[in-house]
Order: sequence, then structure tokens, then C-alpha cells
Amino acid sequence: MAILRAGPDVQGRPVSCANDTSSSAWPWKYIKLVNVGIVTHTGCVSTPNGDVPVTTSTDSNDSTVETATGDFSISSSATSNHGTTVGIGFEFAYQATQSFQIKITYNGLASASAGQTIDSSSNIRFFDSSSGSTIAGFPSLSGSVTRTLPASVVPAVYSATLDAAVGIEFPDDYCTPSSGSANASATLGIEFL
Amino acid sequence: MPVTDEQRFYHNSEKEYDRLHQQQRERNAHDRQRRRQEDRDFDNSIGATEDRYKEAINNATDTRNKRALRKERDQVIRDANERREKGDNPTNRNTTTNDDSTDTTGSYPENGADGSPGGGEESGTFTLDIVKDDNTAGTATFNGPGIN
Repeated sequence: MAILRAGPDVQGRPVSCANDTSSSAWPWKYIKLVNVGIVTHTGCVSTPNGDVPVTTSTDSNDSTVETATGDFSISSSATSNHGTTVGIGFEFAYQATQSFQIKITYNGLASASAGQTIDSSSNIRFFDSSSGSTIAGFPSLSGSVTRTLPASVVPAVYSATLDAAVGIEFPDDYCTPSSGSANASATLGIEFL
Repeated sequence: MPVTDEQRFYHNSEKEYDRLHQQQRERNAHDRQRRRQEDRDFDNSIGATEDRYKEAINNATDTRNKRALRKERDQVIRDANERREKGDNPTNRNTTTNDDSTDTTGSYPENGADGSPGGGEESGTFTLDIVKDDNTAGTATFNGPGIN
């Protein structure tokens, strides 16, 4: 039996019609998340205990509502001379009269320039709300998951994120900004099956 | 206890119910106001006609002419009343004034502009978005006030 549309927004999320991205009357919408964090080594500061490295940080957190007219992907990348974090993701609310499947392909990559020592806290992680668990790897993580999203009369939410974080150690000379680079990239592909 | 999505959904449904009823009430109030204005316009028109004949009758010197003018005046007013009654028949109206009735010329202004819920073209109907049985987006058109 058909079900009435809720929304158009529920708890700040647009409500989409199952996996139907072809309707102009009811566009299929999702929230796109792109977060980039950059830590830049700028030099040092002298203390009684010796020189201490100095860094500056910038973060951007973008959350936008996008319309999909079919399969779509999200990607981002960034580079710094000390620490780089790239986090991408999407989430949507939907209503469906029957279950449907989506396939999420994730691809994360981290690298450093030659001669750099990668910090042990570096990691790449994929998480989605269906499994509730994290898939991790380093310096690359790629794969795909197919999820069956259940029918739902009221809006149900699905989300997935991919984070890639890489840091390199400070140079021996703290007071000279690092000449190395820490690179991170992440891509999520969403396919309606 | 946090509000669940389901509770929020039904809460929003109740608000939509209230909103649609409020729209219906406003339309009916508008209809009543328009009819009152039409009644006032009609009364003013009849009054003006009577005034013109009164002046003409006063100016007439011949009794026969006065009588003819009175007869003509009465006939003009009768004709006007008959036309009014025919036009006033609810079956000839585009709207009804009963609060529980349907606005047969009504449309939902928020619908149809973007191709989404497209009420308004047919009398007494309104359209809502639905998820169809095959998971595709569709619409359902309802007749009458839709919510009882």
C-alpha cells in the first residue's frame, strides 16, 4: 500500500522517496558532509626546557543539502606539512514501501613525502549506520558494502562516513617549518541497486 | 525520554491536519465575507433605483405618469430580485459557505508550482505526495475536504 510523504524535512534532514531519483516532483536529496582539517608546522617557540614546535590549525566543516538524479559520489583531498584529516560522508532520510538496496564504495588513501615518518595515530576508517561498526586500514582502505534498507512508513535515516587522517613527525630542527607533506584523500560512491 | 521519529511524524501529521482545516475555515470565511459584500452591493443598487424613481415620480405632474412610473419601478425591482435569487441559488455558486463543505473552486497555493502536489485544477480535489507500492514517487488525489 502506498504511504504518504512526511516532511519535506524531518529533524533537519530532507526526506527522500526510497531509491527513486527520477522524480522531479519529489527530488531525491541527501546531506553532504565534507570536513577538512589542516595542521601546519610553522616553526618553534623557545621555552626553559628548550624549543617547542608551533603549529596552526584550520578546519572547515561543510554540510550541504544536495539533490541526486542517480548514483553519486563525494570526494575530497588535502595536504599539509604536518597533519591532514579529510572526512566525507552523507546521510539521508527516506520512506519506502518496500526494502531496497544501495551499494557504497569507499576509497581512502594517505601518503607522505619521501623521508617523512608517519605518525602512528594516522588511520583511515569507514563507518555506516547499518552496520554500526568501523572498517579501518592504513595507508589505504578501499572496498564496498551493499546495504538493504528496510521499508519504513516513517522517515528512516541512513548515513555513511569515510575519514582519512595522516600526520608526519616534526623535523629534527623544530624551528624550521617542515618541508614534508602529508596527503589524504577520500571518496565515497553511492550506487542505487 | 527523547522524541522518536515516529512520534515526530505523527506530531507533524496533526499539524498538517490543523493547517488544512485552518485553510478551509479561512476560505469559508472569505466566501461569507464576499457574499455579505454582494448583498450590500445589491441593496445599494436597489436603493439607488428607488431614489431615481422617487425623484422622477415627484417631478411628474400627471397622475397617470406617476402611476406608470410606480408600476415601472416595482417591475424593475421585481426583475432585479428575480435575477438575484437565480444567481443566489447554491447550485449556481462556485463555492459553498458551510464550514463542513468543500470549496469547489479551491486550490492549495503551495501545491503544483514545482510539479509537486498539484491540486487546484480540478474542483474539489487536492493532491499529496506518496511513495507508491514500487517505491517510486507518486501522488494521490483526494476528493472533497480530504480530512474528516
